[in-house]
Amino acid sequence: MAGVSWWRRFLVRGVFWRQFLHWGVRNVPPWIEPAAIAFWSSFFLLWGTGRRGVMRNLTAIKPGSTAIANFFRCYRIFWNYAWAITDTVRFKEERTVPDWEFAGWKHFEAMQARGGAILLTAHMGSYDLGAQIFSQTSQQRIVMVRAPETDPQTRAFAERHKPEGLHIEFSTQTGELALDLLHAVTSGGIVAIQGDRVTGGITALPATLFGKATEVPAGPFALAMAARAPIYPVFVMRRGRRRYRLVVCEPIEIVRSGNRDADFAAAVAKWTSALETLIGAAWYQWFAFEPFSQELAR
Amino acid sequence: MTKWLPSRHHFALARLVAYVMLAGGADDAMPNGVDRVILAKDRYQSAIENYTATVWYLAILVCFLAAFVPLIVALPLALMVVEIPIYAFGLPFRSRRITSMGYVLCGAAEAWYLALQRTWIRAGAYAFFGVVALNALAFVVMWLLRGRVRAAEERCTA
Repeated sequence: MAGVSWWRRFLVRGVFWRQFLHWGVRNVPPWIEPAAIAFWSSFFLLWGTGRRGVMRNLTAIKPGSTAIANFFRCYRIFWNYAWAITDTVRFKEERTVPDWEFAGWKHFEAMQARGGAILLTAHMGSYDLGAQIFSQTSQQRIVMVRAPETDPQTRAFAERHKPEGLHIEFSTQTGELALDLLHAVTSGGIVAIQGDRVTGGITALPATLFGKATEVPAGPFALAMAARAPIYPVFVMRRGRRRYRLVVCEPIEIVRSGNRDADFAAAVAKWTSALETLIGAAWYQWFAFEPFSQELAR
Repeated sequence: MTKWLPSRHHFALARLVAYVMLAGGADDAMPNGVDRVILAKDRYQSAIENYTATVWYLAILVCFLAAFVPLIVALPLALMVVEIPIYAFGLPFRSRRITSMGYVLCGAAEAWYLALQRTWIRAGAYAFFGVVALNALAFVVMWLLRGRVRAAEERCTA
C-alpha cells in the first residue's frame, strides 16, 4: 500500500500481528498452545499504552488495589484476550466452535420470540463467536455494528477474513447506518452493538461506571427509542479453554415520558449497572485497553 | 452429550481415560446459574488434556535446560525455547501435524540426552519415555476397544 511505512505493520494494531495469529492458528499444535499463548501474553505486556490502560481501569474496578497486583491482573486480562482472539480466528479459519453455556435462557427465548431487538454488549470474550452462536440458534437476522480497525492494512485484512453468514456494519458510517439499523430492527432483526466504549465520531451519552464519569454510545439507546424495541444486555464470557458463556440479562425498555434526556439517562443507568455487575465479577474478561474515564487517563 | 466423549480428546491415553469415565457413568454437572450447555465435538476440546500435555512438555524442557543453566533461569527460558519448533517446523512445512511430530522428536532428543546424565534431571527422561510408552499402550487398548467406544459414543450423542 503506497504511502504506508513498512514498519507500521509491526505496531500493536498493525496487520503483521493479525497475519501472525492466523498463521499460528493453522500451524501450532493445540496441545502446545497454552505455552505459546503464555509467552505472547507476556510479550504484549511490553505494550505500555495497553498495559497502563488496563491497570488504570483496574484501579477503579478494584478500589484500593496495588500496582503490583494490578500488573498480574493485567497479565490475566492479556491471557484471556489472547485466547479469545485465537478462538475467533480458529472459528474463521477452521469453523471450530467452542463449548457454550447459556445463562438467562428465558430472556434469550423472549428475544427470539419477539424479534426486533437491540443486543448491547461489551468488549468481553469474543464478539464474533457470540454473534456466530446467535446466528446458529436464532431465526432472526443479526446485524453486527463494530468500530473499524484504525490501521488501513489491518482493516483490509479484517475485511477479507470477516465471518461468513454475518452482516457487519461499521460505526463510522453514521448517516445511512442509522436508517439501515432502524429498518433492520423494525423488520424483526437483531442489531448487536458494543456499548462500553466510545470511539471518535460517535455521539455519546454521559454515564457513571464504577463511580467514574464516562460516556457510552448514544446510538443503541436512540435506536431503541426510535424503533420502540427493547435493549438486551448480552455478554460473552470466556470460561476456560474453548469454553464460553453467553449471559443474557433482563431487557432494558426505554420508557417515553416526554423528557428525552431523562429517558436516556434512566436506560443508560440500567446498562451501566448490568455492566458493573458483570465486570465486577469478571474483571479479567473486560478487554478495555484504554482508560474508560478521563479521570483515569490523567 | 458429556465432556467425557473419547472423540473430544486427542492422545490415546486421554481417550482411554475419557472412555473409562464415560463407561463409569460420569456425568457433567450443570454449572451454577447456567440453563443450557452446548458441547462441541472436536478432538482438541479437552482443557485438562491439553494443559497437562503442555505442562508435561515444559517440565521435560526445564529438566533439559537445567543441564546447562541454573534452574531459576531454565524456568523462564523454557517458555521461550518451547516456541522454537513452531517456527523450525511450521515455517518450512506449514503443517500442524508435522510441527506436532517435530515437538515429539525434539522431546525425544532432549529425553535421550537427559537419560545419559547422572543427576536428578534424568528423571525427566523417565517421565518422557514412560508417558510415550503408556500412550502407545493406550493406543493398542483403544484399538481393541474401538467397537465398544463407538457404541458408547453413539449412545451418548443420540
